[in-house]
Amino acid sequence: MWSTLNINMKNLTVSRVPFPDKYREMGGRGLIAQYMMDHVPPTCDPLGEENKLLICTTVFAGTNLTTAHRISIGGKSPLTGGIKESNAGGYAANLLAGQGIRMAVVEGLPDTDGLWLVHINAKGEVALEDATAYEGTNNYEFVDKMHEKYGKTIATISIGSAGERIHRIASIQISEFGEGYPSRAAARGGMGSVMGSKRLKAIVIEKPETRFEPEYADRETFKAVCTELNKVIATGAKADPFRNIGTIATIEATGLSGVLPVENFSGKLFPEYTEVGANKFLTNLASRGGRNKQICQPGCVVKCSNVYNDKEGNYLTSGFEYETIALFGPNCRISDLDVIARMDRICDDCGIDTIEVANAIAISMEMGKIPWGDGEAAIGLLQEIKDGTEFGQLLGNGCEVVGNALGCKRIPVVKHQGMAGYDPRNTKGTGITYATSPQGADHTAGLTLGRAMADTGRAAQGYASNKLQVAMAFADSMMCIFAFANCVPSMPLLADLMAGLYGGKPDITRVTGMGVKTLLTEKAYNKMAGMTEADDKIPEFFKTEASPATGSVFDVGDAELACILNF
Amino acid sequence: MITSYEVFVPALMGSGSSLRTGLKVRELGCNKVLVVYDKGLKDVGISDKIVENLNAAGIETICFDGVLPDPPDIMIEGAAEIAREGNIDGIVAVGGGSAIDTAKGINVLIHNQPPIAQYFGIRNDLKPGVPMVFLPTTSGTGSEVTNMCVITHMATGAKNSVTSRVCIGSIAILDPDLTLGLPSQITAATGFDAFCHAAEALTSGHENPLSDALARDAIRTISDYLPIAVTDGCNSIAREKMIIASMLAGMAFTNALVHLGHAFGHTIGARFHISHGIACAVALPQIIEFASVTESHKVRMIGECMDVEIAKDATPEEIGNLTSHAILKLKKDINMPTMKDLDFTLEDLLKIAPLVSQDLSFALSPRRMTTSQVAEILQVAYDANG
Repeated sequence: MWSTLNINMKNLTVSRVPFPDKYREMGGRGLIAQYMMDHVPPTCDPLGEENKLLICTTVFAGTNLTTAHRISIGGKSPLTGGIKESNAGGYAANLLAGQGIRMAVVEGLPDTDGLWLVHINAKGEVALEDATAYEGTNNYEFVDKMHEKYGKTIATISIGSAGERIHRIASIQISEFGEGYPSRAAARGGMGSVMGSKRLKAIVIEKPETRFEPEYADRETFKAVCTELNKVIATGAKADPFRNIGTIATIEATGLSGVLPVENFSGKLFPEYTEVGANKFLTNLASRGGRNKQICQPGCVVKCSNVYNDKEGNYLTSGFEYETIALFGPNCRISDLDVIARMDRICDDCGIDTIEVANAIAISMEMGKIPWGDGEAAIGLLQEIKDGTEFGQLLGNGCEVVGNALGCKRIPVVKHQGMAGYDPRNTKGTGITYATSPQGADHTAGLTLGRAMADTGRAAQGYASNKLQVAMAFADSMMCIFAFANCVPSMPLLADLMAGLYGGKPDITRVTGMGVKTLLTEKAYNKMAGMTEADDKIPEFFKTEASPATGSVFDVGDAELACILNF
Repeated sequence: MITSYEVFVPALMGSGSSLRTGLKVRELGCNKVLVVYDKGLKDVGISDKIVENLNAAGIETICFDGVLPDPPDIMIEGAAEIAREGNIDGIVAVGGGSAIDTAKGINVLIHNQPPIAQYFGIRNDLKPGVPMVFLPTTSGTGSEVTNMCVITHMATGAKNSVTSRVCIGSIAILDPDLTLGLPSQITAATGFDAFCHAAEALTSGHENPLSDALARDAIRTISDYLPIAVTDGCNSIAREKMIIASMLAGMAFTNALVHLGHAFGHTIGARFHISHGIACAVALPQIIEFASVTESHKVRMIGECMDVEIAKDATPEEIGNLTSHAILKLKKDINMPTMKDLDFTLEDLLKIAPLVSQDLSFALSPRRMTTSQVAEILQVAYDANG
C-alpha cells in the first residue's frame, strides 16, 4: 500500500501514513492541485505556518512507464501568490516510489532555530535529523557530503543558500541518476523558499533493499501496454532533436524567428545566436569530453540531458537547458556558452531559478547597473546572491522586485513570475499561456511554438494554448512532457494504462479529464487566494512596442484571453 | 498588424467566357486533357459543349464523368489512374466544388504515389502536377481560386483536405451562363456558402486588408443579388454578380481562412447528410453574434455591407445582434431551411456539439468557444428563422 510521508516541522516529527484513497488516481500536478484545495488555505502566508510543501510522484509511479518518475513539488508560491507546481527530473521520485512513498507533505514551522533533513534508509525507516552542520552549504557540496555519508546510490532533494535565506526565487534541486549531480531543478515559483521557511534542508533517500511494487488491477495488461508505449516513445525519440542534441536545439528555430528573447525582451534578433546554438554546444561537448543523450532518471528513453565540461575538460554543469541559455545568453546579450554554463552551475549550486534571475540580470543591464553582454559582471551579480549583499537580496526575490527597485518600465512577468525563453509577440499562443496559466508566465504550461497557423498571427492561438494547457496539466501528472510529446499519436494507450493500473474502463477522458480538472482546481484556488482576471494579463510593453524582428505586437485582446480555460 | 495576401489563380470572367476554354488550354501548352465533371452536367449538355470546344481547338480529351459529391478518396485515386494511363498534360474541371476538388486531387496524384490520404494537411513537399483549368457551374464553392481540395477519407468517413501548390489552377473561367439553369434550392445553398466564406474570412483572426475588401464586396453583392438569383434563376445579371461574388469570397477565405461556421457546417453535413451550404448556414447568424465580442469592427463591416444601420457608439453585443438578425433575414429571403424545417430533432442536433470542436476549422476562431457554448448555439439555431 502506498504511503504518505508526513514531515511536521512544528513538532519535528516524521511519520508514514497510508496514502489517502481519495487521491488514488492522482499524481504530480493534479495531486498537488487537489491536495492544496483540500488542505491549504488559499489566503495563507506562503512562508507561514499554514502553507505546506508537497513533494509528489506521478499517477504511474512505481511502474515501468518511461519517465514516470518525474517529481512534482508544490505549495502556495511566495512569488506568484497563487498555487504552484514545479516539476523536475532526477532520481528522487524513483527512489521515493521504490520506498512506497507516493507523496511527502512538509507542514508547519519550527519554533526553534535549527536546520533539519529527512533521511530515509534502505530499510524504509525515516528520521528527521539535525542538519545545522550543513547550514549555508550549497547543493553540490551538500550532495558530496551525503555521498560520503550514505554512498552514491542515494537521491537528494535539497535547497542551497538561496532557499535557506528564503529568497522567493529559490529552487529545490534534485540529484540526477548516476553521478548524482544536483542539477535538476524544481525551479519555478520559489518552492525552495517554502522549504527554507520550514528549515528543511533536504530529503535524502537511500535505495530500498526491497523495491515497493504498486498494486495492479490487471498487471499483465498493464505490462503489455506499457512495453508497447515505451517502444512508441523510444521510436519517436530517435528523431527528437531534444535527444540528438538537447533542448538547446530550440535556439536554431527561435533565433531566426524573433521568438528567442534578446536584451530584456526587446524583440530584436541576436545575430550571434549560433554562438549559443546547437553546433557550438555539440562541438564543445565533443572537444571537452562532455556528453549528451544522458538520462536523469532510470528507464528514460528520451535522454535529453547532458554533461557540459569547461575548457579544461572538468565538469561544469549538467542539465544545461534552452531556457537558461536563452535568458542568460541573448536576453543579456551574452554570446559565450561557457560563461552561461558557469552561471547555470552557480544557480544550481545556490538553488536559484535560472529563468527568474536571468530576467533580473537583463533588467539590471537595461537599467545600467551592469553593461549589456558583460558575462563577468553578470556572474558578479550571482555572486552577490551567494554573498547575501543588499542587491543580492533583491535579485533573490525575482525580476519584478529588481525591476521595480531600479525603476524599469519593461518587466516581463505575469503573476509576478518572469517569462521563459519565448517572446510572446512572436509566439502569441505562448503569450496566451503566459497570461492565463494559473502557474504564471511558464512555458511548460503550454508552449504553442509552431502549433498554430503562424506564430506571429492570432488565428488558432487561443485554441492551441488551451489545448496544450490541458495536455500539459495531465502530462505533468503522469510523466515527463518530452516523453509525452512522443506518445501523442498513441494517446489511447495512456487510457489503457490507467485501466490496467487502477481498474475501470480504458476511457481517454480519465486522462484528459485529469488535465481539465487540474486547471479548474488551480484557477479556483487562485481566485480564492485573491487573483482576478486582471492577473491574466501580458505586460503593456508587449502590446505597444513592436518587435523589431517581426513588427509584431501582442494583440490578443482581453476578451480572447477571458475564453481560455473555460470548459 | 502585419498581414499577407497571396494571389493564386488568374481569372477570365463574363458571359460566354467558357467559349474560350479551348484557346486558354492551348495557350497553356496542353495537347491532351482530362475533362472532369459529373453525370448531371452531361445530362444538361454543359460538359459536351466544353469538350466540343476543346476538341475544336485541337485538344485531345479523355472524360471522367464519375464525380461524386463530397469526393471520396477512392474515386479520386481511380480517376488519377485514368489520367496517368492516358498521359494527359492538363486537366479541365467543369462543375461545382466536387468536380474542381476532384480535379485537384487527381493532380496531386499525377506525380505523387497514392493513396491521397497520406498527403492530408498543409504540404510543401508535393511534386507538381499538370496545368488545371476550372469552370465553376455553381456560385458558391470558391474552389476555383483556392489552394486546397476537400476529400472524404472513406476509411474513416471524415472529410479532410490537401493544401498545396499542386491544388492551384492555372486559370479560372467564370461564365455565368453555365449557372443559368441551376435550381433555386441549389442556388440558395451554394450562394450562402459563399456568404459564409466572406463573413468568416472577415472575422477569422487571420484577416488581411485585401481579404477584407474582397469579402466586403462579396457580402454586399450576395446580399443584393442572391435573393434575385434564387427567385429568378434566369436573371443573367444576378447570375453574373453571384459567380464573381463567389470567386471574391473564395479569394478572401483562401488567405484569411474560415472558422466556426465551417466547423459547424462540416460536422452537421457529415452527420445529417445535408448539402454543405445549408449545413454551414445553420448556425452562422449566431456564430457571427458570438464573434462580435472580439471582432466587433469586422462584424460591423458585415452589417454595414448588408445595409444594417449601426450606431457609431454601438456596443459589440449590439453590433453582433443587429448583424445576426440581418443574416437571419437573408436566410429567410432565400428560403434556407432550418434544421427543424428539415425534420431533424433538436436532440439529435445537440448530440454533435462535442464533435464540432474536433473539426480543423474550429481552432481558427479568435474567440474560443466551449462545447457548452456550441450546444447553446445549436439550440438557438435549431429553429431560428428571423
